[in-house]
Amino acid sequence: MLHGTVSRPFPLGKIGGLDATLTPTLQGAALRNYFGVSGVTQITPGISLKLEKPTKNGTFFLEAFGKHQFGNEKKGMEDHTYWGVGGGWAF
Amino acid sequence: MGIRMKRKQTLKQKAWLFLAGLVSLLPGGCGLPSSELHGLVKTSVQPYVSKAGFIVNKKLKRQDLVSARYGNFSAYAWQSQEPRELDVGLRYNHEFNERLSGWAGPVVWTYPGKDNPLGTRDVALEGGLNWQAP
Repeated sequence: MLHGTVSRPFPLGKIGGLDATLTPTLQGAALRNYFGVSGVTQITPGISLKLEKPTKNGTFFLEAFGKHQFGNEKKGMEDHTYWGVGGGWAF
Repeated sequence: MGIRMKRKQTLKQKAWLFLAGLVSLLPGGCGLPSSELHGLVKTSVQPYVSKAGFIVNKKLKRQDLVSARYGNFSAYAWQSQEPRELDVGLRYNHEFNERLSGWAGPVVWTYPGKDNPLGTRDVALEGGLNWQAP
């Protein structure tokens, strides 16, 4: 499976003392598998808002995101809309 | 004499233990500088939303990711709920320039649910290109 992502971060400055970034993304994937499915399976535009707090021990972050998958029905992939929130730590 | 407890580990538990062991062994055990070690721990929740855009399942599904990177190589484990899935993979990462990076490596996709039509486990080679606009 091959994945491709194009993104562009837009720094929004400080929100509540945290570094805010808005990032539109465009993802795509192509598949070739045992079942004979090959080709582009989905194109997924999305957007995320990330709030980051850099520290000496790494960066803590909170994220809200939304995505819509345009699935290739000929490959058995459906359209889906996703959104959610998350958080993590990168060091 | 102690009592030896027998407890069968699930594949998920084995995967997390493998990754934890890998992270702990990488820098110190090899005498390599730990400053080269980078990691990511991430969890997110999201409702499942239908193709029409309406929420069809109000139960939030959680996704967790743990990854560790040393130099150009990284290992990761990712799991999601509904549908249940656990992926464990290795990657070789390469940065072509400031904007373009790529990766490739093997991954094992595991579907714990017995009713998954894709089977219970798949092995695949994955690769990707990420391009970030200035």
